[in-house]
Amino acid sequence: MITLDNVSYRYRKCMPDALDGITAQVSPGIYLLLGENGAGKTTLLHLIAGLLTPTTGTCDLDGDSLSARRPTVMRRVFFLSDDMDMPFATVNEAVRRHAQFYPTFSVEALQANLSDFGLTGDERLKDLSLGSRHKSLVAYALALGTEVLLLDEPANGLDIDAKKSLRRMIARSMTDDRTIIVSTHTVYDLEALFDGLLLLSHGSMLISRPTWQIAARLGFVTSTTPLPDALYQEPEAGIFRAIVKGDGDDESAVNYSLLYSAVMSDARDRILSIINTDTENNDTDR
Amino acid sequence: MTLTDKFSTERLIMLWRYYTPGMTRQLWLTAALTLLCYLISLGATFLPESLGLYTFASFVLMFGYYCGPLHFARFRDRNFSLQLPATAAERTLFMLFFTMIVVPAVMVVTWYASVGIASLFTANAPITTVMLARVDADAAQSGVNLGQFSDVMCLQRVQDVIPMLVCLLCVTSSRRTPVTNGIIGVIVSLVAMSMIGGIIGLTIGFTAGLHDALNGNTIDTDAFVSKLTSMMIYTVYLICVLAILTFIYTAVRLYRTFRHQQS
Repeated sequence: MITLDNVSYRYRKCMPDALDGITAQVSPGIYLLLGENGAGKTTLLHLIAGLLTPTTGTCDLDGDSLSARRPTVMRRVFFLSDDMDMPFATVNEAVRRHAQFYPTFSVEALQANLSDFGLTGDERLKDLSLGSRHKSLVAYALALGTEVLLLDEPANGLDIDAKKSLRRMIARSMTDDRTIIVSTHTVYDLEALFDGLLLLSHGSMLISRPTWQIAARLGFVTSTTPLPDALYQEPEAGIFRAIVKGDGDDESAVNYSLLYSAVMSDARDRILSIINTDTENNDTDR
Repeated sequence: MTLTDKFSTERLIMLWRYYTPGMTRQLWLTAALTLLCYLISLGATFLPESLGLYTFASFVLMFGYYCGPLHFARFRDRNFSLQLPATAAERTLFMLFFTMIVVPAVMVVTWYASVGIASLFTANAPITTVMLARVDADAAQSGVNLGQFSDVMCLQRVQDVIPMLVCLLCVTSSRRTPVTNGIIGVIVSLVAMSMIGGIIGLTIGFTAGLHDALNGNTIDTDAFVSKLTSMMIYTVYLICVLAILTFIYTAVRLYRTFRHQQS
């Protein structure tokens, strides 16, 4: 379990906090990390990956500090951003030189992932298009099999079929003790996968909940006419997509885009008060 | 696969494998540069006024040696390297080993291999010996005996580690433009060492009696030069101390950099 305890981060002394007092516990599962531009998503991922040290607070993985960068902890975490470059000519060279650091790496998983993307691993990365290079990296990152995998915009540059393959790959790579946090603005690509939501805004964690809890407390409905009791609604192509208070019995699929828009609107306080009812318990475990 | 947080030679070898692709290119480049400089120096031995060309080739060669750490100047894969499961001590030792042992070893092997091959064709193959003999001959004509100095000349090679370690520090601690910062670090350290050497030289000179000559008094030139050269041995010792201190500082800074480096 990833535990964030009052984590704040400031890039420079003269700058405001990029993250302010983040407290959350993230259990195994696939999480969507949402937030506006500059909300602190990438900063949070860097902190969890141990690439940044919190200004205040602690960031742990099962009680082990992530910022201490001990090898036994670092080999359980891998972070992949959309602008990272692999320092090897091919993916197969990375297998020989980099995967050795990660005992959970699976050659079979890599081959399956690459095959799904129509790649072999022998392609020279610098000769590939941006999208194909990204496919290689994502396929490799998933095959490392780390307990925690942090993906920043993994669907960037992928074509439609590749996005479908990515969904299958992520689902296939999941295990009971694995945590995958996906930061993306294109929610629809991977919407069906998510077990939980982490929503940041201006450096603060607004929502840190499992999907089932959100679905139990809020209803996501569509209507041809405006709903008077909707907490939030927006018109789209002749219909109204709305968020209503859930009754706990019927759990509709969470519409993350709609929820994000609602939280970023005047309806924020109402939405958050319903979702975060038991604010002293931020456990995302079901 | 080692599963502890203690220092591990197995992880050291894994670091070696991780950096091998770039290291291999760098070492081939180093060998090629060494060979080129050898050939230029060899050509210089056949010229009457050869010291300038030899010095130029030596400088180019040494600059290549100083810039050995540039291999580690990678920016776009910074996060890839930063999140490697290896301790700060392992990374520090690996980088120091590559910079101070491997790169010089490649240069030495290439140089002496070239000497070996060239000696089949010319007596001028051992360039350093040939050039030193010429310098000795010139010095002897001036009445200066450099023999007392020859035992400690090799210690001057120790000073070459200073700009190289400065380059390593600049490269590993720079987030942007590590290559540029590394080269600037080399240049600045060379200039600083020259300035320090100049100040020390002036101090020694005045101690040896230069002030008498400047005041218009007659001095024994041979005695002055002998005294000057005999006192320069202390300069060499000072440089050795500086090099050791630079090494210790670099090792500590490197360790702290890897321990606390931020993305």
